[in-house]
Amino acid sequence: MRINRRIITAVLSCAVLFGTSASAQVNSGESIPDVTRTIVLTNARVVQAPGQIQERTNVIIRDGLITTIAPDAAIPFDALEIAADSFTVYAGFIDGLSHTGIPEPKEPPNRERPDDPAFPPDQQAGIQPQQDVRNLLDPEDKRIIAMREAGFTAAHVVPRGRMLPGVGAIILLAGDDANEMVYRGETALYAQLAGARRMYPGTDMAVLAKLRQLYREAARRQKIEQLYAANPAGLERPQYDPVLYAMFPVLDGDRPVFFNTESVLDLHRVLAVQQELGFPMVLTGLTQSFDAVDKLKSANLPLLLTLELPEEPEESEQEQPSDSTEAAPTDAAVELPQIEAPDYDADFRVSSLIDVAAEKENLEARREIAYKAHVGNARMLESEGLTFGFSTGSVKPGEALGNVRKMIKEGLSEDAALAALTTTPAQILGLTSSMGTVEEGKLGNLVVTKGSIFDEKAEIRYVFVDGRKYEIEPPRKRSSGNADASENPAGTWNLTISTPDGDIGGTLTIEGSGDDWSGSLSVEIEPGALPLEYIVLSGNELTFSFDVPNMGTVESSLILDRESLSGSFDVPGFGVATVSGTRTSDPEMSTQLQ
Amino acid sequence: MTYLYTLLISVVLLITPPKNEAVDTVTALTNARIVTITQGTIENGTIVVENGTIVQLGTDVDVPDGARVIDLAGLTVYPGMIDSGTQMGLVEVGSLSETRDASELGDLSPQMKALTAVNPNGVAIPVTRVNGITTVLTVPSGGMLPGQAALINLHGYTPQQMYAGFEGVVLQFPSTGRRGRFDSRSEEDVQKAATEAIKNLNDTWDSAQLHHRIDSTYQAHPEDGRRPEYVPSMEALKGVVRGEQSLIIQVNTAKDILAALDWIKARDMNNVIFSGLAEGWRVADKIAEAGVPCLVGPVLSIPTRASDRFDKAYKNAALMHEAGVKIAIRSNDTANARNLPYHAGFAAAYGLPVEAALRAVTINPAEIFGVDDRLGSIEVGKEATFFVADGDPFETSTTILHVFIAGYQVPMESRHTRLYEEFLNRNPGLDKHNQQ
Repeated sequence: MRINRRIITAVLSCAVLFGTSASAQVNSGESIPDVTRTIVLTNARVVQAPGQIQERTNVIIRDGLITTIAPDAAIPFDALEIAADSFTVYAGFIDGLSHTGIPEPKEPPNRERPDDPAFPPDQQAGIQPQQDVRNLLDPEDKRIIAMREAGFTAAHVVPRGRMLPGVGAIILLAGDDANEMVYRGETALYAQLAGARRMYPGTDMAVLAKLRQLYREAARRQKIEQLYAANPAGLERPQYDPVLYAMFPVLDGDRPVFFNTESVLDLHRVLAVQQELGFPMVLTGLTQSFDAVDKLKSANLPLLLTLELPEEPEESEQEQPSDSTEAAPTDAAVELPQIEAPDYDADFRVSSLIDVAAEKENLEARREIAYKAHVGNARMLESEGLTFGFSTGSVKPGEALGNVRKMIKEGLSEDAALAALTTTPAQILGLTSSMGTVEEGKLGNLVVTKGSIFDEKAEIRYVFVDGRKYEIEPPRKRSSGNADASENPAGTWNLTISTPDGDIGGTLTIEGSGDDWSGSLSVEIEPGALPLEYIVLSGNELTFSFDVPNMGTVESSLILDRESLSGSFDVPGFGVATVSGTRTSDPEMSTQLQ
Repeated sequence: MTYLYTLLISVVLLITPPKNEAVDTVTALTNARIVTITQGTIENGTIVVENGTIVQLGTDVDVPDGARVIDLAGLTVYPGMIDSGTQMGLVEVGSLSETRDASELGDLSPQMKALTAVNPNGVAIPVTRVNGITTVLTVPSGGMLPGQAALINLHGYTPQQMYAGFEGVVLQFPSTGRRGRFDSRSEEDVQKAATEAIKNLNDTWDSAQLHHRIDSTYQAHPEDGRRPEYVPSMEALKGVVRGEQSLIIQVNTAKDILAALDWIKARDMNNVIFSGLAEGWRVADKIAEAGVPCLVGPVLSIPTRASDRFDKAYKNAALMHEAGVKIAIRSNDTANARNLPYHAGFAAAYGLPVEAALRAVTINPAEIFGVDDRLGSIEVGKEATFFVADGDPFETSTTILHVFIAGYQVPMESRHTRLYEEFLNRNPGLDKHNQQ
């Protein structure tokens, strides 16, 4: 909004400067108001739930809810009709855990050193379980739009912070103000093994100790509170403590702790403290859960697996020829790394500098193993019979779906992937009656795609949140030079140069071959031909420059596509003019004909 | 009785604009040369005005008894000129934001009516009307759909009194090219912005059409369904979508004009008026073929491209007229809207037949705005909206002597005349006897 206003002010001042005829031609990206809250998707393929598909059916969304799913459902008179013949409709994705809608602080919070680093104030030590994420939501956070464009319609969000950042909420990824976005508050207490900086609790051990301490202290305080509430006579007044009081719902078992773990060690530690204290818990992150499958099985806790993947090793294809990809993961998944990369030797050592290459290769093989293990993590959990939902954590929204596709490539079933994006998070978050599937009566949260969602080429076309339609522009293909293409610019080209003053015609003549080109350009407005200088052909991109009297040197870049070309002339002090053209004569052709 | 009489007098005084002649007086203008526009020129003619309407016109007219007679020997009567594009009453001082009411924030505000913002006491109003311009179109500016332009008479104490019977929705057609030579965006950005702008327009129009469809269905059978959402902007576009109200498309470059022609063709619209058309002459035949009336101007301007001849802006109207386009001329100005006759005069000097130039500021705009039953020419039954000049109004040396708007003879006073009088024989303050 602030930006819009600035643009408008700029435009207005321009209009004043140049008179009223300099009209405001800027679109401020403001949305067109909805004229109806009834939308019908006709003849769509609807994936109601994982594995449950209905072909050619109408889906009616009214007042934010899915009201009808039937092949011959009558279209209401006030409906916006979307022909969805070639589209597939999925339930809107639910993000199990992230900070969507909570902008990253531009500067790190005050790092003032406390008087006594061994007993810092809770706020500074990252202990703020009383903090409610609903007070921190910013509807203009860019991640909201990015997540929506990736197919997510709802998200479980928690505050940013250290050890106990605060209480989460379910938000819908649409809305003009924070309150409109909130679907449900006080969902969970978020916890992570992130120590405070340069003060207690600074280490994982300290965090766990502090957690125990807080938990026990809260339990004691709760008892005192109960006693005092029953009969205050003769009892000292218990003092209010926001941190401890915020722990009460966890003690009562009403509010689960969403505990984030990254390394497998974290996982063991967190499981140990949970078993000791017995609070309700959902494990999140689980980056290395492939090393703790048995423990997870026996713990029998809800799981939210992060969609974050390590960077893909670049030269994996060269290092690992076809045999590694063919080694389909069939055996017990725990042994997966060994099966996939037999050429890594953990005891490999080199004795001299001459053998560094071999060590490098060995380390790259190790990296490859680790990468495969991370990508295969979801598949392993599935094959071990563990149900999990996905969380986006800090993964870039644009990569979320791509990472799911990578996991599917590694053997995760599509149904499990879809469940992990829809039904399972709904279950974990207690949303099954309103979200997670495409069913009558549920929220109008849908993803409409062209093609199957897990197909590489699938395009998300619409996302519906709370019955509101968001059209997603398919990414536009941009033409740019391709160094691998081979084009022959020799010949004569008819050019059209578009300038603010109108189109100018011209003729471009190029002669030569290989790396040796010469040519000239004649333009309508300039008498005589202008010689071209520095002509370079790189793939399909032809660049050159020429001098125009009174104007200076014009830099040109043209993309050739057999019989046509397009590109631009960069005229100094003037701007960029678009150029398009077609071939009129081709010396090669004429010699061939002769 | 005396009391009652006083009361009656005071009521009459209250109703009657104090400076003007009352409408209900019968006025006869005699011995005039009358340029009727639609019925030729009458030499030595008489116009009889009663109740603000022309009741008699011609050479053998009996002047009613008791009529106020104005002898116009040697003078010429023309119908009041209509300026088809100003911001009259909306902008007082361009550099003072407090006095600029022409634009609203945002892209989509077709529900904003310029008429409601017109200041009847604007200084430019008397300045303009004493030059023979009696009626102007006042146009909001801003985003893509900035609001509704209103045709107003330059006389009245409230916007409603000034309203001349036409309101049109303004569409600033998205510019597809660069905004000028200083526009240094990359080609890709220009393309992207253009595509987005056109898409935004199309999406808006689709929404408006959907709104109209839902609304029509509901209005036909209100008992069958629930009341549609109230969306002010879409409600305001309903008239245009239904073809009941005109859409004024502001468009200037040749490329954009062609895009706009394609757009109205694709949308099957025939209630469209083009406005601006700085490069209209380049595509005049296409506009003529489409039959879209055009509000052309300003004429007193420079060519749009450096390669054009110096007089292209002057000739634009003539070239479009030649191609068969129905044109009206606009000044696209506010403080200097009084120059409208010179815009038309320049167009006439550069090839537009004088009669066509006269029509372009009188009957043509009246027809385009659908008010030709009351305005645009001197005919029996039409409103008495005309002016008296001592020569050709397109000449700067000509003096306008009387202006009538809907029968009201407006005072020939303006800020200009007041300043003229104040400084003509100014007393430098040396005569101490005159001072307190």
